[in-house]
Amino acid sequence: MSKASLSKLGDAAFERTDKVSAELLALTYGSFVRQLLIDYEDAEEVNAQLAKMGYNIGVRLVDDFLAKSNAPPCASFADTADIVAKVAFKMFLGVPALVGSWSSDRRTFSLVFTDNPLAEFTELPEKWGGVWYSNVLCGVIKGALEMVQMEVDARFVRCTLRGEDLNEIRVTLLQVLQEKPPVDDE
Amino acid sequence: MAVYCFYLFDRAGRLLCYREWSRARRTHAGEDDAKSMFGLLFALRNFCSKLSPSPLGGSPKYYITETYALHHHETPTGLRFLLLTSPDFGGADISRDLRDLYADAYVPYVVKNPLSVRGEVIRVPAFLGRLDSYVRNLSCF
Amino acid sequence: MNSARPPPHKRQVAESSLDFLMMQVVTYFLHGPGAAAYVPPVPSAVPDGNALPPPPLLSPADAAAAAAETRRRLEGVGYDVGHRLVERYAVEKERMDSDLEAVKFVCRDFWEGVFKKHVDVLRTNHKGLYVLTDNKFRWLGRVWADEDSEEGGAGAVGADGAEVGGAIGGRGKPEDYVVFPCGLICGALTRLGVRCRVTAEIAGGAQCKFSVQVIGG
Repeated sequence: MSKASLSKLGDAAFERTDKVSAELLALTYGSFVRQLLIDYEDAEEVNAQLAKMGYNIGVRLVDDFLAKSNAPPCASFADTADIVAKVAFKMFLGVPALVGSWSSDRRTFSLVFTDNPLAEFTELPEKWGGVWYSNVLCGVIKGALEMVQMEVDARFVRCTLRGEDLNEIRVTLLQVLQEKPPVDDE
Repeated sequence: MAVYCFYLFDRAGRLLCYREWSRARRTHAGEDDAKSMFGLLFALRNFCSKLSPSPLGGSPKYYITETYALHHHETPTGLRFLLLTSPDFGGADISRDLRDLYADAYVPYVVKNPLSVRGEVIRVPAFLGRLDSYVRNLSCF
Repeated sequence: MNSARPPPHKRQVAESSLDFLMMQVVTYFLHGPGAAAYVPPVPSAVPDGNALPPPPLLSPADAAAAAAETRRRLEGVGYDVGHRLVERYAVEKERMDSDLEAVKFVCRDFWEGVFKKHVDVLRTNHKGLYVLTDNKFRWLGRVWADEDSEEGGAGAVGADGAEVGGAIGGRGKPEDYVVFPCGLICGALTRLGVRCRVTAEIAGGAQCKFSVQVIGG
């Protein structure tokens, strides 16, 4: 399926879905992250906790996505990348992402987006420079793809809250999971 | 034309839901039955995708014998929806109905239900009620 | 890439995104590490940066106090959101002249913005108690409890594919999902000049009654 028609699919999925104001999501997420900063007092731990929560979201969200998006099946990791960027980002966050910077072995790509609905009203104090504010997204990607048998690593490498002009998540395919045959206990 | 029973398995082979409407004869008792059903399915599906000319696999929609038909819908997340009916279902695409069941019942009442725990047996009345009315509304019921 | 992007206050996201986030927020505070972290005494140090130490065993009284504290923390996040959010709906309104006006504003504009409908019934005893009844409270619409009777089913829970770090301490209950809204409503009203305490009662299905008790005045 061409990228243009995937974009259309993403627009249509977002059009169909029930929506809420982006502010409500952004403020809820922001207040929650603030509480995590207080609870953990450590950027790395906050990043890990956000990724863990994202994972738990991803393993559920993927079924919602598959049931509602009409996305075509993925024949390759490149297809998966486009579907995540053009259809899933658009459907859940209202903004698509771009896919780029493929590694030469075609196992790593970047998701790039400028508008980030999670961080709409946020400024991170300098002392929290080590926090990847939107790290929950990495967890969501990891959890969702794992459910469709792709074990990936996903991590932020650029974030607008750190003064960069765009957000970038690097996604690496670690392995395609194989289905285990059922255990036969005689 | 009769609907015998419904199974829902997850990828790990856990039986998340079993319902029966009219099942004249049981081959095995309870858990064994589910286990052999999942095993059969696993082998069947692997065999089917080996024959497929496309890398996207070739999950079976149903198979039919002289005495029954087994309808099957598998999601990319490894959920397997199965419906056992009598063989005279008239070629209707019941696999599609099972897909609708996934989208209209499993997703809203299980996936989006904060009280449901993944991998556990589904006991949400709303899901079970929806399943029952789905089956009763099948043209072949 | 997206030239026709609407202005910030008109932007939307999928409601699913908020639903899924809310599940995790509630789990964190009431059943997950956020609850464990707040069981007194609060662990002062995290040994090797991996996990918070397990909570000490508590007496029933302490356990109840800890449960109240975890709810208060979740409510606090809701309060914070309500406090900020209400300005966006009230931005062009004059300051409310009376408590009743503020409550009415929350029942209509604020409710519409957040829960996509109005409060169905508003009652007051004219002594500072307002009861807001929503017959189909949006945030309970997805919460489905199990059958009460445990019928023995096949299948067991294994570690494989289970959610991580979340479901410590059970599956939760419908009441867990009105804690945050209580804070949200309280935060909004406080911002409008009404100091209050908000509690909720689920009246069956998705019907929910929020009681607003005005403090002082």
